[in-house]
Amino acid sequence: MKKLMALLLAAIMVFALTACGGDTPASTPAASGASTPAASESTGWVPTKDIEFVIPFGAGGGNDIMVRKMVEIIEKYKLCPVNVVPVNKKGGSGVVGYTYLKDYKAGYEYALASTSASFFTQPITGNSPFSPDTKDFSFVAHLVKDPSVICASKKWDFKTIDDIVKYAKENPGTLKWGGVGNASDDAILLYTLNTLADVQITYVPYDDQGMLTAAVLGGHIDLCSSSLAESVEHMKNGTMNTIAAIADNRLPDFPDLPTAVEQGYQLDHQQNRGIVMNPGVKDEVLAYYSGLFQKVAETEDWKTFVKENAMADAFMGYKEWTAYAEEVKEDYTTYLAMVPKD
Amino acid sequence: MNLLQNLGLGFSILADPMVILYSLIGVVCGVIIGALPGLGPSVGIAVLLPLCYGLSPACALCMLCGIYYGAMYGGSITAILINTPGDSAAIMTTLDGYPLARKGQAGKALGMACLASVIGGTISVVLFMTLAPIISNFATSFGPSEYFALMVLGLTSIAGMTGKSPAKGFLAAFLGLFVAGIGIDLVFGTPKFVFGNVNLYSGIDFVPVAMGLFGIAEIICNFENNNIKVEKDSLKLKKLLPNKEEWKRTLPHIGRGTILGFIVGMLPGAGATIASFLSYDMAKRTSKHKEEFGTGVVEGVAAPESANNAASMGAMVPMLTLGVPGSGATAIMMGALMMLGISPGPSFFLKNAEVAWGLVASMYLGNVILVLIGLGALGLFVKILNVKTTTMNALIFAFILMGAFALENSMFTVGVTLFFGIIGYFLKKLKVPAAPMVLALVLGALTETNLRQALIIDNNNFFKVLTHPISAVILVIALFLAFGTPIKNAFAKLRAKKKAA
Repeated sequence: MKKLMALLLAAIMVFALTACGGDTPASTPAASGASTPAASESTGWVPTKDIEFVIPFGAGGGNDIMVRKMVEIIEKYKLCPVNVVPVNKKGGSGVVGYTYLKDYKAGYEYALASTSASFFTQPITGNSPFSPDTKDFSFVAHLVKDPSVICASKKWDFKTIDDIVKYAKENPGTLKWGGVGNASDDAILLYTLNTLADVQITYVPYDDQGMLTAAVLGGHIDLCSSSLAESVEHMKNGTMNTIAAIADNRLPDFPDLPTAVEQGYQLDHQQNRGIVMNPGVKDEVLAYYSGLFQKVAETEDWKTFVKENAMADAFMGYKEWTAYAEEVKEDYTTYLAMVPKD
Repeated sequence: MNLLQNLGLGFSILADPMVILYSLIGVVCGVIIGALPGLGPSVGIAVLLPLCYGLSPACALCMLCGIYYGAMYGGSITAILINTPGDSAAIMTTLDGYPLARKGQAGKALGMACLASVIGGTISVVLFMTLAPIISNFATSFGPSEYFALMVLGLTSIAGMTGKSPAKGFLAAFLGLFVAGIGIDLVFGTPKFVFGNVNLYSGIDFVPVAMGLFGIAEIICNFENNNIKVEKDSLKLKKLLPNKEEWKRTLPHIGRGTILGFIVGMLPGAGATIASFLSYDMAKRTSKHKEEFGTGVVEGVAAPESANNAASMGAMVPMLTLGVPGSGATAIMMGALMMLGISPGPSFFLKNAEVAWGLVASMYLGNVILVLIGLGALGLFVKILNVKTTTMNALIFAFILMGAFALENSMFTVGVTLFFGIIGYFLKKLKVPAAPMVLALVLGALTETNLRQALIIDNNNFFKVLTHPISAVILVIALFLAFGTPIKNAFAKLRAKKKAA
């Protein structure tokens, strides 16, 4: 009897674990039974089996949340006749995920992957075997850009970029700029500013946004760039000084905050979030997916999501995104050349 | 008075039976998830997050916190019973908990772990309640140079767990430091020891390493020698509760562990694991029965367990008051809060008084629930030991591998776990302690990162890094801990010589 109890307990533990496993992508409710009103408009290729959507980052991150939102919208409005299943493959700043994608043969039609800055930076810094262009990928659609803000610790009275530049010129090497990663968008912003204004602000890489925020709040770091979502509370409460927005237009929630470009500094580098596939995918397939994500981008749900997460809508179809990616790649190559090697 | 009013507001929220129910669900799930090897509080919170949709913020927050401290205690169950820490904060609990279990006192060890957790948890709720709005700036007073000093202090605690042979302990520590070095360099982006394997780019996480070194190695050894016996009457409530003598021995350690844990927990990035390491070390150093540590003493269970629960409470301070999550679990919790439309940050206590004080009240409630579950269900937990060893080992093995896969959804972590399982087996055979290796792995990476950031900030002036006021104080303490005993011994010898002469 006792043994039975013990085994029962063990069994409960097994169930608990499998329940945990249930959190993983496979648990997408089947919406495939529904008819396909949306897809019927397109004449060409239509998917006939489930689509894998590779997220090259961990669960809960910005990339993950975005992809899962898209999948949710696709299901809600039955935009696609088959299931789209998100799969997290994190590691190596995205490289593990792209490796997983590339394990399918070229031209494979049922695997998508999302991109972030590291899609471009890792290959350029020599830490990824894949080049971010048509040689290794097909470009499906571009969804959003991530505006960011330049913030300063309260121990300074900086109000504008000019203030910072003035101080940095008078006191070379004293100001520290914190960012996440060593060859990241944050680093690019600083090195561009250093070059544009001919100053010497030191870059301090962090591996964690939380630690960086704490360091800026405590005045250990003087300046930082961070995404709007991460700094919005501190902007509203005045626990950090906000210097400039890095965006194409002023941020809707902070209409009084001028962009860096308005302040006379050509700092507009933003993270691009798009979707890629294996190379050699036929144009009609790309057109189908491109159309699918355009429909996603046009929903109110998506627009609300973009606004809530302080991103900027920037939809591009596959042709535009292919051309634009080439531009982005060149931008990164130029910018990253400014990052000191050792 | 204001405080009492606020607390009253908090408890009035608890009058809602749904809040109590969700708190209960949270604690129960937390204990179970915490007990499963590899699944820690962050996984638990992530898994139950979908349940929060549509709940009132108070319910959701109470449930999530319940998981958090439930898991902190749950981790000790498997640590004590099968020498496999359920999560990283329970590693230190194995050192004395498992020997206790082998002595037939599994019930007592579990009872102690539960009570220490609850006492640590309750005292820190009081600390949290009275201090959170005031001391939120404490977390930000630590910059890279201060963290570096704290990590050095942590590394000195390795000396406390080397066992009989210090050389072997340090060997293990160096192995750990080496593993910590693997990955892409943060500052220059240079790959270190990755041999072109993209899976190694982000370094080796210590959770699979700990599961291998402790869990799998233990299973392999279990094939060779057996088995813990539980005496039936050791499970009576009276036997679970520590007797007067034991209270006397453990209470000071619990008190110190709680305060230390709360402080370390408040520092983003340090967290419960490091708190439990430091607390064990402190208990050992301040104990009158130093030499008995590691052979199964209740203090060795009480100290780390009180510290890790206190740390989980401490970690809530910067998360709620600064919007800076200090650990994986609080990061996910913060995501959950934002999902519910509450942004943690400097104005959290003012803008969301009801939620904030409801949370405080629920923490008291949660600790009561934890005691009831912990002591009430102990008999059930201990039944695990009645399962035939062969069956049990197979089950644990499966759990560990599933847990390893669940960490990153990848077979690579499973491989890492198995690899370190084999290493752990040989370490065991060579009587090299595994705990210093894990500690060095946890601290090594943090030490390196913070030292290098500090050097950049201080323009590569090493002296300046060491002489920031807070870092200097911590480093002096570390120096004292590292060299205090040999110096004292040398003096004692001198004095003895003088007397003789």
